[in-house]
Amino acid sequence: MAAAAAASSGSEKPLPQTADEVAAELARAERELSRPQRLAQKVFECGLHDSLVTAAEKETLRKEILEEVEAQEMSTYYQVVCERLGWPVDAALLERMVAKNDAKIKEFDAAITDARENYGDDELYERVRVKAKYFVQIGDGDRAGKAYAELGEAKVSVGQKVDMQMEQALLAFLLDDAKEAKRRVEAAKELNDKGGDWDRRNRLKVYEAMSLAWGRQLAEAAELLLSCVATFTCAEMMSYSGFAWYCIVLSMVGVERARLAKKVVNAPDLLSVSAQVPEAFTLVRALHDCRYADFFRALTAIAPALSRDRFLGRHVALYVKEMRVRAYSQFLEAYRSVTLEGIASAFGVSTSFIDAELARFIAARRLNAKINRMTGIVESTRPDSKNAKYESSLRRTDALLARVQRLARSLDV
Amino acid sequence: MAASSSSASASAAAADAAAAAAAAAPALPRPEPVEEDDELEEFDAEAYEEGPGAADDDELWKDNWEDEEPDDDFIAQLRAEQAKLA
Repeated sequence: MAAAAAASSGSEKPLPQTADEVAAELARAERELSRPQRLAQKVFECGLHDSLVTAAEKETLRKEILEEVEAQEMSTYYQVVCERLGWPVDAALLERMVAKNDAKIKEFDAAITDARENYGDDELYERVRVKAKYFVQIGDGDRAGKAYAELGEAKVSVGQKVDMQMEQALLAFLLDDAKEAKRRVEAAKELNDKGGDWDRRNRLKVYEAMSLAWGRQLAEAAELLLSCVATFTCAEMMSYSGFAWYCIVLSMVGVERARLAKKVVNAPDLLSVSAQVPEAFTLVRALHDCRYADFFRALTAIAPALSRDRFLGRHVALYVKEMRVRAYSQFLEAYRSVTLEGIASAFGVSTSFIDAELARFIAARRLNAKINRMTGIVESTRPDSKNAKYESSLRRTDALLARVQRLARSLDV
Repeated sequence: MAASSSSASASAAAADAAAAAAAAAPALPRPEPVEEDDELEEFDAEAYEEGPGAADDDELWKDNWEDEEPDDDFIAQLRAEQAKLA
């Protein structure tokens, strides 16, 4: 691409001429913003078992990680990563980066002293902020925290304050610090509610959603993401197709059928990137169309990507369990009774497999059904309102009888 | 209900009996009398569910005990099943 080549050589960029060039330029600029987060994802993948990420893939990732780390002078982060992944530290590389760090910090400090002596608060703030952002760039949580703390008392706009919290949140995401990320996101939200703008609010929703997903609150994360589908501007976290992937995958946990159809399956914004997230769309469409065998095949197809994702990777077992429950209960909604063979065939598995599955979830009270093993028939025990009232009045009577019994016992002196 | 109307007179009798028994230093243990502000708990059907979100030292979420089922690798089992029937 002529524009990209000129940009990387540092010379004067010709303005993009065609619509394609503009689009490419925008995409490139967006990808720039998400470099740290994409780096964190690579580091996560390197830490996974060989069965999920092969040794060969890890070697490629390792090269990419080292390249990026050196380009961004991430001395501190490099040491953290080496320790986490058990890589030997390249002392020469580390030295080179630390030298660059020290040189830059010296420059910043000189500029800060200069500002203290010769300029006003605004200029001083700007220069300390630059230093803080450099610590974010090199992935140094401690020094960044100290620098931002210095700026805590600065008299700046609400927007600036929110930005500072968000920068620290992004760093926490990079450093795999879920607690810190959560703290920063909440601080940013609180500040932003007092007078921040819509753009920050939308971006914060994505930050919050990923923080929730990290903490296993998948349905809550989905709700936040869905609220941003038309207004996504969070390129520093992920691309729009990445965002779409999370939307689709997570919304299947809790969003009920009609809303899922409207907000996901048929959503124009998400459909616009469907070609880039084919597995996710295949999965949700299969569920929507009640093609259960296809759904199960799509589930096994997407499972590796789930396990490799740094936000969802620790919750795959839960996610897969929720998908099973969802599919089985959706299937059973359509029937009063159905043979085990019928269900097995619909899901593309054997009767014994589906028997064990259903029994497990019925016992866990996730499915309203009964298996009659003599006839091989599964009956829905759907709680319609009459049933529900009956059940609840039985429960209340039980409770009342228990209270009376307790009372009676304590009166039998 | 019959039980609740008789309980009023029963509790008066129980109070008397309790006073007499206390004076006589009872040898047998007996259940405590029900007092006015004793709370009789209702059965709470939702009592078992605890959602994620409690802050732990290491994890932001508490593992739901169900997640620790031994047949955890469902995907592997499903793949095997699909291969069988393919």
